[in-house]
Amino acid sequence: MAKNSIHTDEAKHDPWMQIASGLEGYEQPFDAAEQDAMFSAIEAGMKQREMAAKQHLRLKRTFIITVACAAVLAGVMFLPRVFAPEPQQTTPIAKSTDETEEKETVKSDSIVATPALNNAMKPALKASASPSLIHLNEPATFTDTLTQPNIAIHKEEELIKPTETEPQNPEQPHVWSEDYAYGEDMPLPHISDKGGDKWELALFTHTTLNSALGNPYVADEAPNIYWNGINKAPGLYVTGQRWHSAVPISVGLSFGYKITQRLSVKTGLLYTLMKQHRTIYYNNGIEVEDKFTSHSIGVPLHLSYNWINKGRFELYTSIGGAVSIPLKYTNRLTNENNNIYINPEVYDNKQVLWSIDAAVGLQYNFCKEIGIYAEPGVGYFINTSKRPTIYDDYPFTFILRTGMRLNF
Amino acid sequence: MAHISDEQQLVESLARGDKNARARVYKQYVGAIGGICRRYIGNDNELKDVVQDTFIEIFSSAHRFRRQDRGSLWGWMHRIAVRVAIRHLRNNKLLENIDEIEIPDSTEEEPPPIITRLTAEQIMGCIQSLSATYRTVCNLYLFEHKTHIEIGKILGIEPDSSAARLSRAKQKLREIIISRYGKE
Repeated sequence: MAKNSIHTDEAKHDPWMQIASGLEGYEQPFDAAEQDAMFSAIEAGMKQREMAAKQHLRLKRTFIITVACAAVLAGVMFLPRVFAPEPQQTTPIAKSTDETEEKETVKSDSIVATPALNNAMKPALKASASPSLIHLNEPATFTDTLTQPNIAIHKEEELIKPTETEPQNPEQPHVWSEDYAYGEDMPLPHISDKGGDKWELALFTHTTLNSALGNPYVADEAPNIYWNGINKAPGLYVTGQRWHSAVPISVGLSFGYKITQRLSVKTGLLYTLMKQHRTIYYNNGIEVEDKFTSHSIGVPLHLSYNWINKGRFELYTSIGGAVSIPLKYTNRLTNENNNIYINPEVYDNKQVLWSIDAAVGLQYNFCKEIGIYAEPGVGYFINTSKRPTIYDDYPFTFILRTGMRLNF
Repeated sequence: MAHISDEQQLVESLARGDKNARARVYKQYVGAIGGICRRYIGNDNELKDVVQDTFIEIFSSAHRFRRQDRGSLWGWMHRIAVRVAIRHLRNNKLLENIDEIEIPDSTEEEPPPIITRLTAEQIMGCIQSLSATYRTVCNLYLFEHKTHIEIGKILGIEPDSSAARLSRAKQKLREIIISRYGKE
């Protein structure tokens, strides 16, 4: 083992090297039982690694699909705006001899009141449900604007400068204007004028992040509290168990009510799919595979406070909790070596799971009624079942809720 | 050790996750891997854990093994075993910081003559009696043929500190051998 170093040359002549030659080819004597037990543990470790790798891949795919869906959704929302016809530039018409009249016409560059309006825009304007535009279009045709400037100017003033006695309605639709860069200072576009913004409906996914990244729970010595079958044989006992809990998949539907403009309360339904795989090792070398799947339904309750609402973005905090109960579970115990099916074990399956969490949410609104959001936060889970779950391994965990919210 | 083409097939089978290949490699190398790990790990239970972790590491990274880069399969497994053992010592804080130790006054570092007559098990017993820190430096220098610069990088210490530890480890080993088996 030549190394390019003076130190190695020095080491070559070191008389202590005799120790190394004395130990050459040394093999640690493990007895057969030790070797078998170690190999079983190695195989279990490999299974865990493979499952962890699969989960990692699943999470990656889920993330990519979510991002792709969000991108498609954003595209669907914004493409019509990108390809929408540009608003026409307004140009003053022929100079009027009346100075006041000319000033008024130039100042108010609303497309409605200007004669340079493209004919293509006329049907759109006429079809508009906006009361102010209808009002403007009623008696004064575009020809009118040209021929009867006094009428047109009078109508512009009504549109642009609301009277002092009448408060300006922020909900009133705006007309195109050169002064606006769309989406910056204008209120959010909305689908309907009807209804308030008191209620909201959200479709979301809920992920526990620690469990996605961490190692599974491993117990070398575990009591037989879940097992009343094979261990009844005389002299047979459990020498160890290895657990692997998959990352629970949760999706939910939540309803919210805005108590005030900033404060809202949310509740709903949360479905959770949880999978576990356990290998039980017995002293005679038998390994029993235990596959467990549970479907739970939960009720979350959250209080959220909106801190910032700027443009299309909203920043809020959310605090609350949830309680989940299992609706259905399946449990299969098999022995790989003998291919035998063993009757399901009897255990307390009432896995009521309590949790509390706090999160910071960021919402992006495509329009007034539709937005997407992400809520990273922390949660604490309390499992009341005797059967350990992934939440026993990671009671305190990072969480991430993502979803789409509808306001109505 | 296996023939090159056999080894190549074995590695490919390992990379595919073949359970039989794992069993074959395990049976073939468990003693030798155990021997390497035992030089570093004093406790029997910990030794088993480290051997298991080594094989898990070997099996799960088999797809990364390239003969032209890493030499023989055994050499590659050997390096993994050493890495896993040192990681175990470090994670369990068994490599205590003894940088402040003084260079010993005695310069008696020569091995006692009886060393040539000791069995492998006796030598292993003496090495096991060293503290983890001395044992690790001794192992890296005498068995893995690492330079003090390399040892310093592996253990996160200065090369001089590595040399000082080795010097002290040799003295300790000498004392242990003489006390157990005599000088001649």
